[in-house]
Amino acid sequence: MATGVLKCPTDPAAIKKVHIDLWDEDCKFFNVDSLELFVVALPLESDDLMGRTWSDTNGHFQVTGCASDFGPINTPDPYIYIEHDCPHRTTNATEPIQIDVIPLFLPSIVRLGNIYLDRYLDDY
Amino acid sequence: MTNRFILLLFFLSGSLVSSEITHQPAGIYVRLNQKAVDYVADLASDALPAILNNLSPPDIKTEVATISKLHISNVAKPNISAKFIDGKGVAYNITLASFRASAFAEISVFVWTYEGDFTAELKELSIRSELHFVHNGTTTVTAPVCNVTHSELSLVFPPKSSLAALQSEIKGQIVSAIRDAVCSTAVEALTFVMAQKPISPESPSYEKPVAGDPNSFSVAELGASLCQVEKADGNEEEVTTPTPEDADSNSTIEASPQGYWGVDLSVNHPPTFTDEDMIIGLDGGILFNGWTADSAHQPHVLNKTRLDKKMVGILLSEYIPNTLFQHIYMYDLGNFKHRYTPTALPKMLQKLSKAVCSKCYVEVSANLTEQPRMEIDADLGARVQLSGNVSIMFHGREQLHDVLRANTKLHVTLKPTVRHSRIFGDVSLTNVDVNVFDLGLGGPLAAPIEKLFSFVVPRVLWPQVKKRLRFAMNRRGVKLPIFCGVELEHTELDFVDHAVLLNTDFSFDLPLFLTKFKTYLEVKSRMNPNLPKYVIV
Repeated sequence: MATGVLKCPTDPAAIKKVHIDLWDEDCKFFNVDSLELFVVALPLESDDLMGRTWSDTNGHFQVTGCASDFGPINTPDPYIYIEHDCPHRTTNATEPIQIDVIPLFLPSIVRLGNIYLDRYLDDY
Repeated sequence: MTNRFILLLFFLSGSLVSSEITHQPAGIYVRLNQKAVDYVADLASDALPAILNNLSPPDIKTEVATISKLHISNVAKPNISAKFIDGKGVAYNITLASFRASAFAEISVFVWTYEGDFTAELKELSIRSELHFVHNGTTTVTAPVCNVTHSELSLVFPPKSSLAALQSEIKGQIVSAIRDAVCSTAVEALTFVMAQKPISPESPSYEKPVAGDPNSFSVAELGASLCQVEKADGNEEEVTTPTPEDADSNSTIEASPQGYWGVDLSVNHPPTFTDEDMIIGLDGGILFNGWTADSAHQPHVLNKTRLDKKMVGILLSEYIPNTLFQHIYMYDLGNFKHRYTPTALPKMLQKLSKAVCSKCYVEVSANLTEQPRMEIDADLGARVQLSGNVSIMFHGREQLHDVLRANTKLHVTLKPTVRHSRIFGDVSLTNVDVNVFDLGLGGPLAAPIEKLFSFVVPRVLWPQVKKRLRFAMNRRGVKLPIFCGVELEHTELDFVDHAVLLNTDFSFDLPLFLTKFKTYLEVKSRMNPNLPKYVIV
């Protein structure tokens, strides 16, 4: 279970009823430079939707879900995906935000704290 | 003219360098700016009435008086402010609008005894003080300015109380106690903290720490409860002692020597103040059984100017992990043994293997052959070199067979970064060297197996290990969660030569702390009458 609070300084009303998904990442990654091979999924496998929620009027949310991956010592790799209407602080863009979550599983709760929707990773 | 200017510059730079060298180098530097102080002052202002109201402190006994049934109430929210003073220390003001305490007192004066209930009410208490930190070989703390004033202190006694005769003396004692607490006790406590140095176990004054009273108030225990992972069912994760593995288990941990760990909190770099910030340096070295790690070296000059911009800046040098590595290597704490019995096999094969040889097992063991060493570089990040022996033995029905002995050397590079409170990074196996020097399967196979290990470890095994270490190498980054009630915001993580830099703003979950504090105190005070407790009014 992951909890957090959405923040949107550019439009405070944009934190209500925001759609938040919890996904399990399943991908195949091959690094040509180092010849490292990550085989973490079967062929043609895509990310699995674990859970879905919407934020309340104060931007608080709580999302939980289930997933399983094939193979030993292969626990889910959770991330949250946020679709929102909060304008970016300089460009006014409203791109979805994705954040990896530390894989602590129920009954443990991961408290993510404040998540700012008006700034992206490429800002600086 | 130019020559004089150059000489002046040389002199000034020499002075700066010499001022750096006069202070002992520290393993960890912490910088707090005025914004952090203002934030903590606001927190304290909110916390004080929540903590003090309805608190019943334990009885106070002196030579002439016993104060019991103490109850504190009507504590208003104070105004607290603090400001750094350039080159000197910190000035703080506390203004408390109201404070009420009721108690029962027994006072002995010569042959007479006065006793009874009373209520003391303090209005507009004002504390204005400056703490100056002076370093002259050792750091001493003084309070050259310490004004404690109040507009009104009233004492209320029941009718015909004998204590009324001692009203002025009681008032004087209360004012004196407050003034001593602010102007003397705090100063003495800070001076004591500044002077702390670890005592070598060889010293006659050394005292081995003993287990404390489980019912006493422990800051470490309170901190541990604050840092417990929150649970969905409302129950906190209990801290349990690991239980011994059962006999059929496939994991066996080699018994490590009994010992206790500690941290050297010596103030190597005394607090230095400007109008905007304060920097203090602590040794930070890890202690094992009271011993310091002498072979770990502290870098002499660390670039403290990079500790800027945010509320808190922390400079952590490579000295600290190297002290830990020294203890691990010197006291054989890095030895590892893992035993695989037939129960470790898939269920389909367990019955067969037990039928063939129920007491057979494979044992994998490893130990360090050199002291691990961490080096931090501004461009490359943190690099750790590990060298060790690995052996695999097979215990058959009647005898033990050496299957494999190998010497390995690994060089791991780690360079995480933090942006928008998300951690990114990579863990690289920058070098791996495996030498198989004893192979029970047959001599001619040693060379091909050595080559196989040297390929398999970095190309296949290491990516799986890296994945399990959970460092996000993709575009998203792992959000730093709230931990111990602290949320890091606008965090930046950088590397300089010999150290890691963390600059961050932070916020603290005060309601969580107050809940944990009151719950902890309630539990402890049931067992220990010498602790304060809360009275439900």
